[in-house]
Amino acid sequence: MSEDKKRALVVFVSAFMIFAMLAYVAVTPLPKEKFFQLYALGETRMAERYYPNNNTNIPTDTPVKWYLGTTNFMGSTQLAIVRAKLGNQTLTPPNETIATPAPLPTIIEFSRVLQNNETWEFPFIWKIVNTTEVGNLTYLTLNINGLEIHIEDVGAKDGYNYRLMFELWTLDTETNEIIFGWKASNDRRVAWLQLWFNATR
Amino acid sequence: MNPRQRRLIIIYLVITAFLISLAWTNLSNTSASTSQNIALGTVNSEDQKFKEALAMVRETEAAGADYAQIKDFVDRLNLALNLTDETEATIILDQIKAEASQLRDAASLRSFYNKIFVFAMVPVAALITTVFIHYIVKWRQSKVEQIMNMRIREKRVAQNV
Repeated sequence: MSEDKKRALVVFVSAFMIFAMLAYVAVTPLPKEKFFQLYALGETRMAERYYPNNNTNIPTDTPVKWYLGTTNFMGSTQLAIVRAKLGNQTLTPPNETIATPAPLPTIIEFSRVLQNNETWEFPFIWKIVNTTEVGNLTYLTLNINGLEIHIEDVGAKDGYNYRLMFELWTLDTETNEIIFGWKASNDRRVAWLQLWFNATR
Repeated sequence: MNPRQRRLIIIYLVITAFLISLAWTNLSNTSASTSQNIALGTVNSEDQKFKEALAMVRETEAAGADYAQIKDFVDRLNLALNLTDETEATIILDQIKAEASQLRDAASLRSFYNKIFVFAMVPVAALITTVFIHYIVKWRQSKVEQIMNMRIREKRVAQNV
């Protein structure tokens, strides 16, 4: 084989390997971290002024305006459900380690299908309509986005240290069940947040 | 066509076939993982319809459908979620399922052809590179030869007439 042919063969094999590698990289999607984001904003749509006059004591019939948002970074279209729960100081919150939700009834839920990288933000406007006292415990009737809900299961001593908890639930495509949090590869992740308040007259 | 040229063409065809088979394997893997992800269980009928429609949209997305097409499906899924009329919601979900299924097949085929094209271009690009480098080297060699073939001559002095 002449010198020219040997060189041409070496160049062809090298170029072939380089272009084959580039082609493989071009058609193979890069692995990315998959997660959801959940957040709550105050009435100015910023992380401030969560309570009227910045006072966590909420009188009856005083509207409180929050914005809840979630972003899908899962790399595919997902169903996102935000469940709101009312808790007090002693009731168990969600557990991030074992991915269990708060053992409380959902008072209201919001659901939406989100495309990849899509953010969904919606208002959460609520007020205390009525307080009922049984012994030293105060029970609330809330109005959330125009819907009146009486919560019989959760009371707080003298109306102090209530918390509204927001949990993110998704549709697990493997089991076809709605689960708390989401599955990313083999990991189970959760997202939840809480905002405290006192119910005062 | 001499035997050497024939041999080269055969090698070229074998390489192209190998790359096409690579592209095929790549596509098969994508389809398998997608179908594993959408294995559905049994829940109540209304939810089941919604989940099936969502699963079909996700399959279409995985097959490589456009963002705008998926957005249209997502908007209609959200519409169905917010409807109080169950019959209307069911009709929308059925439509989404049927349309997404068609789009998934088209997108899947398009992605497959794209992959075939990309892998088939590899030997072509390698060949072009080889020819280009070959002629560059030839040109450089001719320049070197030109220099090497130069002779030293005595500089002529201009004579006054």
